[in-house]
Amino acid sequence: MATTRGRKRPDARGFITRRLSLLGLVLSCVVLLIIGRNATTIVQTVRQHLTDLSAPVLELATGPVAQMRQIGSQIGSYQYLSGEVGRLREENEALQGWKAKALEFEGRLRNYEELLNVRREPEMNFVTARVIADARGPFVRTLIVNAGSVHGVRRHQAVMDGRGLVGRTLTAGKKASRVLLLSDLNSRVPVRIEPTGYRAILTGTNRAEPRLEFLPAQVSLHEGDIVFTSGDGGLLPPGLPIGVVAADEAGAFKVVPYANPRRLNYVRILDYEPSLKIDTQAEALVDKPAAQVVETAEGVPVAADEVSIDPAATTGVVDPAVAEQQ
Amino acid sequence: MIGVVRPVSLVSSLLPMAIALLFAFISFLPLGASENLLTLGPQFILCIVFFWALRAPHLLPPWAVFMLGLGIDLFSAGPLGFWGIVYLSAYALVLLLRRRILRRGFFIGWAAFAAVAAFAAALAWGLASAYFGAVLPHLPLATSAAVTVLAFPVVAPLFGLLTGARQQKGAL
Repeated sequence: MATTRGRKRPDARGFITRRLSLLGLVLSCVVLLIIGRNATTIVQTVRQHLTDLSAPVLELATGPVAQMRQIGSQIGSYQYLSGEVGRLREENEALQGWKAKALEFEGRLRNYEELLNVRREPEMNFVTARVIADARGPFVRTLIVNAGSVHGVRRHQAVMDGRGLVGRTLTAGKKASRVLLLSDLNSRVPVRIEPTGYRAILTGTNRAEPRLEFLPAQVSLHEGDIVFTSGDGGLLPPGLPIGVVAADEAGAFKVVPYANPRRLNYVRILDYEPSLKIDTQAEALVDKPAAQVVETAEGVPVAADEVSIDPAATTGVVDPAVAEQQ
Repeated sequence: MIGVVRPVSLVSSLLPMAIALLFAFISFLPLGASENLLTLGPQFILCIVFFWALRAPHLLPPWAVFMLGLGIDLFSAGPLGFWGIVYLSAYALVLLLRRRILRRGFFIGWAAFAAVAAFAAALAWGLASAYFGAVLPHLPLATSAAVTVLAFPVVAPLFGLLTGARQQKGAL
């Protein structure tokens, strides 16, 4: 009996200790949840350090994964291509005609821009990076790429694949960066819809297709209208293709992106420097940094601290820290 | 009669944590999962939490579950403490059900796991919706829970083999 009691006691102690520690740890998690919501800068710094630390291992591990995916797609492609060659040849011939037209229009546009003395957007450099992690969660859509500040990557740079916008850089570490996808709940991108020219905000909904918000009340959009970045706020360059308009189940408008973030091996990170034009009449504003100067609806430049503007609207995308606090 | 497995070495005490880290690492590899349905994939960490909370909780103590959750939160850019709450709550539920499940046969264990997976998915969805102040889509979490339940009979025997613990044939 003594032996039995002696054996039971440590189990009973462990039972109580486990339950007490469980309770304490769950409470710690709740505290972390509250603290993490407010101390986003510290959390993001810790996150980026962790990402930088794990980047070499991830890079090593994703090498074979990328190769396997390439082999897999090639096997699929051989069957697919046999039937596609003829169709693509015909399509190519048609596209050659379009190419000639595009070149003609490009020349015409350049002439018109010169005639009107339009200030042209500066040429953009880009960094090509490999996707080394797909950091998923039930409400988080981010990727990690193997390029960081040593390669010239900064926060809030546009990230594209060969077809369209994928998202923007959320944090940039030394050798790795985190990309916030368009589908993430915190993603907000100012867009322009063609051919109508409407402007809206593309909002991530945790689904593959983000939603168009802040459209005018009486809007007339059609499925297949093309969505580009508008460049409003000067953070992302204007004119980057995003996808096409489609209607969702609730009757609202969503966008089917050209890019498929889950099929990515490589992405381009665009180095865009917005060139804000300062009117010569506003000499008093010359001393202010460019980022602190905004234009009113009438096109008159004023200092940002003189007008009340939503930071999200001026920067073009909402910082997750701001979104979380809201 | 519970027959808990006692640690025999440092290796066996580190085993669940090592397996969990390995599965977490694999889950972050860009394997090309679909954006809508299988965004999350199977929740292998939940399988690990369930298995060790049931079979040998002393090998996977609550602080280890807490650290796992914290690591996943940090790496996935989610709110800190989120996965900690989900996994620790699942762990607590297993401890509550433990005596009723253990050595009752595999199917009882599997059914209990399905209940725990459903509870974890519902908790994760509710917590995330409350955190973001919006009703989030529940389908990715529900699909992930279903896939996890289907994956459990594959990974549980593997964990059993790795622990090397003696058990009755067919028992969890």
